[in-house]
Amino acid sequence: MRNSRDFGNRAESKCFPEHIQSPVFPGISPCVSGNLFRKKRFYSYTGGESTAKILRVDMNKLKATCEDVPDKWKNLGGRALTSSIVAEEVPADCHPLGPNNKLVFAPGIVTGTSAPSSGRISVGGKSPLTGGIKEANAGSSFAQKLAKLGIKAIIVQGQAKDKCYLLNIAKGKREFLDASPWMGRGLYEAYAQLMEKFGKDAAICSTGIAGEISGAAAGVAFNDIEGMPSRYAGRGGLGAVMATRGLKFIVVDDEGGPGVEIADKEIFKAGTKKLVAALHEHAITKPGGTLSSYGTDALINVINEAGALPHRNFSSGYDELAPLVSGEKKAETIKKRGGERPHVCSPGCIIQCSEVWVKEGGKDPVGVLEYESVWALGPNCGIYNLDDVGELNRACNDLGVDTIEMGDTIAVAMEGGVAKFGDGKRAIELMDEIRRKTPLGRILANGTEFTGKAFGVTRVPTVKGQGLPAYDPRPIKGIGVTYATTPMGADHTAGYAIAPEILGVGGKADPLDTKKADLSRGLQQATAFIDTSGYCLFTAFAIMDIPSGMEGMVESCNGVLGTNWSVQDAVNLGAKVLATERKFNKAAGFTKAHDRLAEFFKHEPLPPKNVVYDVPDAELDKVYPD
Amino acid sequence: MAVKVKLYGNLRSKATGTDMTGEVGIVEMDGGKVRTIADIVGVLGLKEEDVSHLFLNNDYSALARSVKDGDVVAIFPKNMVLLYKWYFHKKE
Repeated sequence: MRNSRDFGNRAESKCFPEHIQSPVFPGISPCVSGNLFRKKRFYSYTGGESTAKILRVDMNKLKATCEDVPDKWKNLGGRALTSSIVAEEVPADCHPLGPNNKLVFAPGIVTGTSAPSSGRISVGGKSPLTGGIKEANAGSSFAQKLAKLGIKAIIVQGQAKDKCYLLNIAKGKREFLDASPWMGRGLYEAYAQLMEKFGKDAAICSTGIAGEISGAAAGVAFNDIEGMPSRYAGRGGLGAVMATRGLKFIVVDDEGGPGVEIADKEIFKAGTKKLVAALHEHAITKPGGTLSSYGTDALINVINEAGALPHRNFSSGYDELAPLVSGEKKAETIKKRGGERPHVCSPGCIIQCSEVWVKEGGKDPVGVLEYESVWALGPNCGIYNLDDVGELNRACNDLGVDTIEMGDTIAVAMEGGVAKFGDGKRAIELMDEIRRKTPLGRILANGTEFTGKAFGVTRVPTVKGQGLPAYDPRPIKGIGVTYATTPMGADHTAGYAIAPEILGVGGKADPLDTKKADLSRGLQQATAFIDTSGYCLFTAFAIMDIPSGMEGMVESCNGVLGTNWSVQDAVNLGAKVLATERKFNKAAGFTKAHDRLAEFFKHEPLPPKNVVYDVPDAELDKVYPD
Repeated sequence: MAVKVKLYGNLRSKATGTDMTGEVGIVEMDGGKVRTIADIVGVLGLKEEDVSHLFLNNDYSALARSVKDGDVVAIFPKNMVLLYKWYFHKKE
């Protein structure tokens, strides 16, 4: 067995001598790579302009070079930046796993500063799951360390020919190490060994075994604060894009980095103060509030009572067994077993929705069991045993697959006769098929729609090829409009945002009302801004109800960038992001026919309300009339 | 037949018995004595500010809604408020 010291075959030393520093800005080393000093040195700090750089990683040549950020992108971050880069540099008609796709990482605008709950990183590329543009984001110290190192984005392009690599990034250092020893190995073991090699403060990003077999359900994993691979930019198969670039890990150390420049510290401070006050005041986000008490899994009982929690592959919206996997049950079990709750996903989070789930006796920590993950791997598969759900979540983290997509996939496989609904032990065995890279495992690793085709299932809950999250759209019409029309494929996070009166939209909040286009569009726009800012989406609860919170969020961005955005400007930026994403999708072959839910939602009534999805297609088309 | 009241989170302590899973507090009330969800909340010794989401027969509901024997009411405590309100609307 190889240990962590077996990183042989160092590809090329990319180290620039540590003593050579920027003559203007002492924290910045000139960013170069290759064995020779390059003629062009990219340290162009000229007072008032950002020193942050784009790191372009060419896997064909195993070179990583820094570039100045073009003016058009200098005020962007997170989703706005990943989607802008993908739209400009990736041919929309390329094969997502072929040589022309790229993988882009970008911390949010305020990420790496003292702004609360802002340790988010966006990952973008053309999705092998949807065939369209994709942005998935995660909360991890990786995001903050990248930003503090002065890196505004990483663009990974090309494909290494012979093996897979680990890219090690630190101040003045870009080195490629052979990651072949980690092929076929679980990520929990890998992360523990990488932490041993690079130090406990290192931040890690990776693709797992599912990515190695080009699974369209493969996510991009990031470390939690314990160093485990439990934080995911999970959706859309970007782990397979990373793997097919020949890149298995990125390790970041921010020691000695310049930090994030703040153009106007007073405005930044005033803005974050308003946002902190709103987060501390709101019942959902305050200390002792819902998210810190129970985590996102508090929603299991609530959505079950609303008749909208999908059970057994979206065949019912309610089951009396749901409380067995509820937030209350989980929080109490964690306390009894000696796990952790509340907990942060990244340093500086004041919401603290996270946790560390453990086995009996406090053993074998998994990380957080989110509402969506518990639902997908639990009730949606007819599984009402938290220990089985925990082991399924562990397997997803270890293999590098998205929990939502995998829960939908297993449920569809159960529908197709591969296993019985409720058989948690068999579901865990199915995950092992992926680990062993068997033909069945390769089918499952490609997600819900692929598995549905393989086993002749027609109740396949997808939009644009992506599995639905934990809210059935039949009793909750508005979220169905967002699932159908977001450029991302079925995505519950695409339509969280701010109050309709702030957006100036006229949608009604009645869940059964079918007039939802204006509401959904406005929510998608505001969400695109939050995904750009670097703030956690759960800040949406507080800024929705407390207007000064939203003002504070925008002001803190202004403080970092030196801009003068209003709240409306921020929402307009979100609209531009969506327009960019939809333009890409259109060029990739998407039409209005792709802005639809799976057909069965229209004709299969969902108990207990026995409602079908009856929002007219014409209403869906009003969201984006272009 | 009575009104079945399901209590979640820390409100479970208000129930003397529990259902088959032990995870939900169950109380039955005479539909002739409680006319609204607000009445039920009062009988439980709770104030309006102690509760968050209320459901009547799987409909997200306001306190003022009428109840009758055979109905199922679910009550969540204040620290379990989490619905994204623009997708959910209370039935009055």
